[in-house]
Amino acid sequence: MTWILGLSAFYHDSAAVLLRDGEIVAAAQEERFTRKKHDHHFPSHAVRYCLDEARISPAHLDYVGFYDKPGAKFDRLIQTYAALAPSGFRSYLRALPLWLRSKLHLPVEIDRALGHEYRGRYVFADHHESHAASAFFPSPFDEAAILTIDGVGEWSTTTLGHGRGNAVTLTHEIRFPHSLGLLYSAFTYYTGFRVNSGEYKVMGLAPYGEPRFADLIRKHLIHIKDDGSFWMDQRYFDYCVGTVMTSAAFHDRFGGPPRNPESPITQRDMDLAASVQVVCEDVMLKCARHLHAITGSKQLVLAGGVALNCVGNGRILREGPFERIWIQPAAGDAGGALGVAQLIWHHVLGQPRRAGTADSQRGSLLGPRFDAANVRQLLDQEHLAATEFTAEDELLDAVTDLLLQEKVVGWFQDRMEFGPRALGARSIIGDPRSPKMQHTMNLKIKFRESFRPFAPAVLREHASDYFALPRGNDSPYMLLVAPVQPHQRTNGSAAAMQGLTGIDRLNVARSRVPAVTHVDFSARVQTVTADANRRFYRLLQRFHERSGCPVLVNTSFNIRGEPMVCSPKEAVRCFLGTDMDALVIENFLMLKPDQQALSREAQDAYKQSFSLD
Amino acid sequence: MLKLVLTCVYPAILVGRVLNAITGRDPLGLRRPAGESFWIARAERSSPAEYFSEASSAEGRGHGGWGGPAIAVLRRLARFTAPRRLQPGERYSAAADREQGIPDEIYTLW
Repeated sequence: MTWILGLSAFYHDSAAVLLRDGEIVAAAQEERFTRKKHDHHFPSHAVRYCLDEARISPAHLDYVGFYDKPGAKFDRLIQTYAALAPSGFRSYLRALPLWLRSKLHLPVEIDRALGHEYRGRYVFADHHESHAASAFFPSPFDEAAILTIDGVGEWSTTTLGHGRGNAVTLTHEIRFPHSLGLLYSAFTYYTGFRVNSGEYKVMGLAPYGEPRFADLIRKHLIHIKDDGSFWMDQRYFDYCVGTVMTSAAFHDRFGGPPRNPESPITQRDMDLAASVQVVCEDVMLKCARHLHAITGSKQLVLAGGVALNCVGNGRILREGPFERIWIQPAAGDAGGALGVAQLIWHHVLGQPRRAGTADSQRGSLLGPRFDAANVRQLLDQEHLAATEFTAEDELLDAVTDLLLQEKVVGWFQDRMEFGPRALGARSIIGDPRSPKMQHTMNLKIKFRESFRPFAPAVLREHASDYFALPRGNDSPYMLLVAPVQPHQRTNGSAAAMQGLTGIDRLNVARSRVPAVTHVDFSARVQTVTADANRRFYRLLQRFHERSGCPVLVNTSFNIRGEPMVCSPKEAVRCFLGTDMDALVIENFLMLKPDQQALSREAQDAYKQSFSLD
Repeated sequence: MLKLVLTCVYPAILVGRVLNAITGRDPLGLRRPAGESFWIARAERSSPAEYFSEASSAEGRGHGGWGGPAIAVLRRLARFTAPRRLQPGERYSAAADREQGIPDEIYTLW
């Protein structure tokens, strides 16, 4: 038996993944345990969880892999300082102590973190090769073209490659500082959102705007070739050696300084979001077409932070040349931990790979689970009133009753998701037909910006009735945006929205499922199957039987700034700290009126315990 | 103390900058390249053992900047700053952590 531990750490989204003979045993992000979003520290808690899941200690591990190459990254850092000196002296003085004390000694650092129990070899993989491996190896394809796009790894920011059998080969790259991920992050920063988590907000804000700055971006900031390659004019950016993303030249070009976080969002901000989104999609699509031309493959796999841009992914699928695409659900740096572990299995150890009809990510439900005894203990400790259901059908009926009454339900089941999306294990769910659901969930449950859309979870067999996903393609990980089918749209809604601008467009009833239909009639779809998540699938079935609608609103179980809940205790805290109506943890159902109300001060303290993202 | 030492090393970075200017090297591609495409062919892999090693610079090759001497000096310096082993019973904490006040977006690049 061969045990391989993959790690990503020290930048953002630290994570650990454990393989046994090439199979994923456990995977988790550190933020879920430490409750610090995008936690960058060594993933001690995630490692402990993975080892506990397998009932082994570090001494049993055969290989430990790290998701990038510190030597090459250090090379890039110093070459950057040498290219731009004396600019960057302050950055140099702040960055280098960490390198000298820790990052240049990663085997020692990891050895310390593993308590000096591990005796095997440390393997370091190229950052983008880790992404590529995480995209190809778990995919259901024997061979596929590979596209990775993110901020930066060592030098690469975008790579093209090909996977076949047990081999991944990257052939072309774009190098730092020319980076589509950093361009998107620059606009995230400029529009007043937090980089590394606000990119999703920019993508969600884009449909409210007009891409009137897109030509300006193409003319001055990024030069894009027909083959998707690009070069960025660094006079407009300050990330190489500064402490912010954008330069004074950028601000001059776009008419002012960055928006202050939490200040009102203007039409201009929406237009900026729409513009960078259009440019991003343009590059993604061109890269995909070029990749198809050089590989001839009919399948595409994607990873890297930009692969979380599900609007761009949707366009690649609808307008690009590939018949099928698969996207690593933990496409950001957390997924690199999986990639390096699989590289060790297939490339270092030369183990064969056989793709199945389904992917090997197992619904990405790879994290901790909690049994009834855990839940009962918590209920006793917290003096919570709950009903335990011994028959699953009765539980599903009770939850469906609540959903039909437009109640918002916390849904905590099975193993936690690996990756940023809630997929029906740590979810907040509701009735998508309710016209008030988006407003209620955003402002009373999630405490987040009112413009943000929610995603639909839909029974796979009914997906095409509601959403225009190309034939043969599912979206099990909520990473594809598809148009809501015209026959589901409300008559006259498009015309009604034409006279409106910005957030006002939200007030128009857009479809039969308004809570999950964005203002451009798109939806970030999750197709649900019994194989991936049996109980969630059955709940959707029951809701469909009773309502005629095979769709539920599915959003992550957390409030703004909080990592998705991991344990029942965190779920209860979120339930009591918000206006959520009910909470289901495994077979236990809790209703808000039955609980002792939390004081306003306690609710505020809960909200304030997470810094806004 | 370490920052003082790093300040003393900084002239090596400055020398790299000057040499880049004199020799026309542009490791960051700040000047827009001519040609039909900006794609760069990736280097062939070295042997698996070397490629998967910590010190592998497979991705760092071919950039042509004059940062090399500074990198060598800093790597030598790092020999004196390695984290120590944990003592029996001592709980792990990182040997160093990022400075306060560094935005995530910038820290990510380091």
